[in-house]
Amino acid sequence: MQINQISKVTSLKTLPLLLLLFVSLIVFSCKTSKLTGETMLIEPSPSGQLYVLAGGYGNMKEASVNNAIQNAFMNILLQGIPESNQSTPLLGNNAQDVYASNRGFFDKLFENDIERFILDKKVSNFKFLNLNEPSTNVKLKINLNAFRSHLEQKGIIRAFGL
Amino acid sequence: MEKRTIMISKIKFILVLLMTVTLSTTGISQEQKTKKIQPKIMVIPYTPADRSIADELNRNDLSRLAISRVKEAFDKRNFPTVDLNAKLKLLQNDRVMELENQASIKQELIELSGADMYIETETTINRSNGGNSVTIILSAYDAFTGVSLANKSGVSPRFYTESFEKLVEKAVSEMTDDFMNTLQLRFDDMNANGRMLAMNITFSEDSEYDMDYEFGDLDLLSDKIEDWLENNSYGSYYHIQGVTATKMIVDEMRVPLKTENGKNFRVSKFVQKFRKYLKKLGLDTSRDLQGGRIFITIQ
Repeated sequence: MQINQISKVTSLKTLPLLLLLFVSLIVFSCKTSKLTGETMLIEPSPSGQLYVLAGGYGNMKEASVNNAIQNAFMNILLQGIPESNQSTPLLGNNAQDVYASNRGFFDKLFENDIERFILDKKVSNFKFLNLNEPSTNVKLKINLNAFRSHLEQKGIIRAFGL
Repeated sequence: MEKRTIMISKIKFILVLLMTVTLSTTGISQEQKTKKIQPKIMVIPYTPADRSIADELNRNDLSRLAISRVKEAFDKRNFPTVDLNAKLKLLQNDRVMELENQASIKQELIELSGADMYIETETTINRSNGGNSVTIILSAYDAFTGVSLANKSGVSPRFYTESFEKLVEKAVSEMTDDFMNTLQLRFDDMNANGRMLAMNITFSEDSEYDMDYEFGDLDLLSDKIEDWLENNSYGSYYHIQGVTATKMIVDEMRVPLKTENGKNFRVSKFVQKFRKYLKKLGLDTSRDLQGGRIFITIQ
């Protein structure tokens, strides 16, 4: 009975500490992922494809790979990849506005569907050094045609033409 | 009793809400029903001054291949193009062939084809000790105003090969996506800021008017026309290339793609409105329309 009481008191004392640890872990892992422009064309690709190298941030391998993928697609959508098949933003002249007004769609896309548009993925060795350097580089072959068609079908961008 | 009143007002509110939603949806579907008229695009070869388009197509296999690949890229995006060969055959015995100047033939072909835009495709073979390559230049133009819409050049990698067809295919394949993206940005711009038209205003030989004709309020005819353009071009966007006593050339003015009630904007209606304005000023006119190019002759 006494032992039980002692353990109860101990667990009550450690609870805030554990909670603090848990919260700081979440905050830390969130902070390590970030959106950057670190996406480069590896080599020119045939029509409808993109072959890019993207940097990913994160203290865990999976998180950093996901971050690299998101970085690559975000750059295609909002900035375009210089010298590539998509050197202009896929979302058009007002890319930022289009993205902001369809935020829910894109959050869902990155969460569930984005892998559908990746033809090939090669992940380099994961190495977490600090928050300011990518912990992994991911080579991605992207099915640009399918990605564009998907956005057209969902009414995010207009089909080619007026 | 009070509960019943609240219930009735709630039902009323829901009914009003439903009606609003239904009406707005009907409005949207009405708007969507009127599809935008897409511009006609024709892909042609680049021709040197001393060679005709037909000659270039007959002699230059690479040019034919490049044209075909560009057309395929448009097809892939569900955007059919005007077939140059078919148009050439159609016009073979027409007046186009009677023209001696090659530049005129090209202009006539573009005009008679009904294309709103044309894409010039240039292929050049580069030979060197380090291997051979090809350079491709794609340039899109508005057929009526001559305004450049998109440009893209690309060079294939160097190979020790005489199979230039493969090099052309590779180069074109690597550049069509981006070329079409640039063109799409232009289309987006047209959606937002209107499409381009060009207008030439001249006088018939026996006309008693000219651009310097002064009205009672001391405005010249050219001033009156410019006022009208300012009020009727989309966003007051127009550019006058030049005015003389006998001519006014408006090389670019913008009109919307759709009318206020969601219908496609018709150039003929625009011209009709302009002619009515001139009639109010006491001027009789005749007009010619070639796609986006308007010719007004004041009698």
